[in-house]
Amino acid sequence: MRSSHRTERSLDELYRDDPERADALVWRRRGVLKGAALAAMGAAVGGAIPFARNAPPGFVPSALAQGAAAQGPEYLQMEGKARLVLLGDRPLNAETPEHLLDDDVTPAPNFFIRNNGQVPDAAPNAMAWKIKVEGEVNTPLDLSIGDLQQRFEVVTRRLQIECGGNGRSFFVPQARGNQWSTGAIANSEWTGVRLRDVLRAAGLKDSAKFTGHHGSDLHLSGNGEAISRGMRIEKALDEDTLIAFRMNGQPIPQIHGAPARLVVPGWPGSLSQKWFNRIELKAQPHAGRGMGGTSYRVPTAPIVPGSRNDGATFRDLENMPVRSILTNIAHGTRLPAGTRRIEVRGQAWAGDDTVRADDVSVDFGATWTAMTVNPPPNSHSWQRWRGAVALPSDGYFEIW
Amino acid sequence: MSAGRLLAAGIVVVILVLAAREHGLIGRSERPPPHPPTPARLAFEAESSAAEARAAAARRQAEAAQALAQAPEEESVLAEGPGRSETFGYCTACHNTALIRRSAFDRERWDELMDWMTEKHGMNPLEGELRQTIVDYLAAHYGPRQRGPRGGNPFLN
Ligand code: HEC
Repeated sequence: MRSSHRTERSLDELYRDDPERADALVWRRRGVLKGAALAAMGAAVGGAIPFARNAPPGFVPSALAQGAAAQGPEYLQMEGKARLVLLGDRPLNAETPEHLLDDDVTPAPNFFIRNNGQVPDAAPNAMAWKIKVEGEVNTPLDLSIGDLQQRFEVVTRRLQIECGGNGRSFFVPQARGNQWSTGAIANSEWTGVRLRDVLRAAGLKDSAKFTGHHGSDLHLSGNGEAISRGMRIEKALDEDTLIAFRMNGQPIPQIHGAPARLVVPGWPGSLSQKWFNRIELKAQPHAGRGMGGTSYRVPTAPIVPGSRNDGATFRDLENMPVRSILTNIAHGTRLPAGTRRIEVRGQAWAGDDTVRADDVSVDFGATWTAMTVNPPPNSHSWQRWRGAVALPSDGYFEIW
Repeated sequence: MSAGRLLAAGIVVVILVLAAREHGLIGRSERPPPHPPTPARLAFEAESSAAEARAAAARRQAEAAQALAQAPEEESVLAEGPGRSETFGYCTACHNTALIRRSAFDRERWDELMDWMTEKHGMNPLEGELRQTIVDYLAAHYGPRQRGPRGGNPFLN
């Protein structure tokens, strides 16, 4: 339909195959888009780019980046799950497109999927599922979910679970691990008992400084545990760290760790052990699979991106960084011609911390509009932000 | 008819009536009607069938995930080139090729990954010529990209 159809294809393809050359073609030496190059880029993204002069040199428009994967995304098809973007099926990993994160409480179908190993069979009797507490405690415990419900206060909180690698695909050079965009986050309503109440019932010794978590999922090779991570005792004693047995008022879905899982909000999701059946209290940091090295860890001093490193000077990733997503307008949305004002909203969160401000730009970061940010309904919940932005004309815009 | 015959016929009739009652052919209406279910029983039954439905859904979800994990892959999903069958053969015992296909590392990072897979994940150590073949293949076909989805790294170059 558009006369520029052929240009569009070829530039799109060029970006996919040889972004370097595409840039050389499209961007002038000082990186300012103008003339024929601007027209070509506009054709490629399907509309004029009113704020092109603000775009950083070498910048690839989101509309092209979306199509950059060799053959577009694959989608998960599974009963009880939404159309998540499938990252791999052995191990099964899938992320949630941002526009499916618009609910304040993430529905079970929209919850992202991260597995390190094999998905175990469903437990025949959830109430009889046992959880052991052992190690540096005075009285080791072995409690069923029924026992937990009877002995401890049952609480319900909205809590974030975010994969430690959320946003990883934006790193250059590429970082190892699942190439999440920003959809490895969920904020469901969790019901369970506080881990700290259970640990206190077991009687923590002074030597109990760290935890080690265990679940029933097997490693991909079939040998041993899929993953076993641990944290400082301070986080285990946080009031929002739960042994959860319900999600959004229902039993936890199998794929999300039924019948019981840890919920360690604001810290890497790998601590929120699925199919949770044992916690060790330790004097030294845990040494399970997924501890040490470079995984789930960050440098303590800057390093050259992509350089070799054994992680000896790394520390464990704890409090997750601040992040904000737009949830009411999907990537690639076409608005009616003449639209000059759009309502925008999304979610923002910051690990253990609270978000105070959120700003949006539609001119590649040259100017920013303040949004209103709701306080979280409880600590460790994400926060709703909303507002409106003005568009000066029709054309291609990115909402930053 | 003699009195004896009459008596015998009477006995037969009594036996027939008793047998019919025993088998529920007559006299049914004397049984008390069944109780209508109490609200508590209805609630219990509803909860039990909901619990069964949930358990069945959990089983189906586990099975669906396991079926996905078993979905067969063809070697041809990997880029064509020398070393492809060695790589496909050695590298798909634990996971499928999605992890490989999404990766974009230089040769050194790929080489390092072979040790990581052995040390952390129990892969049989990959040594000698086979290691060379596989790492060469990976570096040639799944080498680093100059740019990420949104551009380059201003701190490199
Ligand atoms: C003994 C089992 C096993 C074998 C064999 C194996 N891997 Fe892995 N590999 C793993 C596990 C486990 C992971 C981590 C998966 C996860 O956490 O999602 C992994 C992860 C990876 C990753 C992602 C890296 C990362 O940091 O997440 C790549 C790439 C990879 N493997 C490539 C290979 C290649 C190439 C081969 C063949 C030389 C191979 N694997 C053979 C077990 C194995």
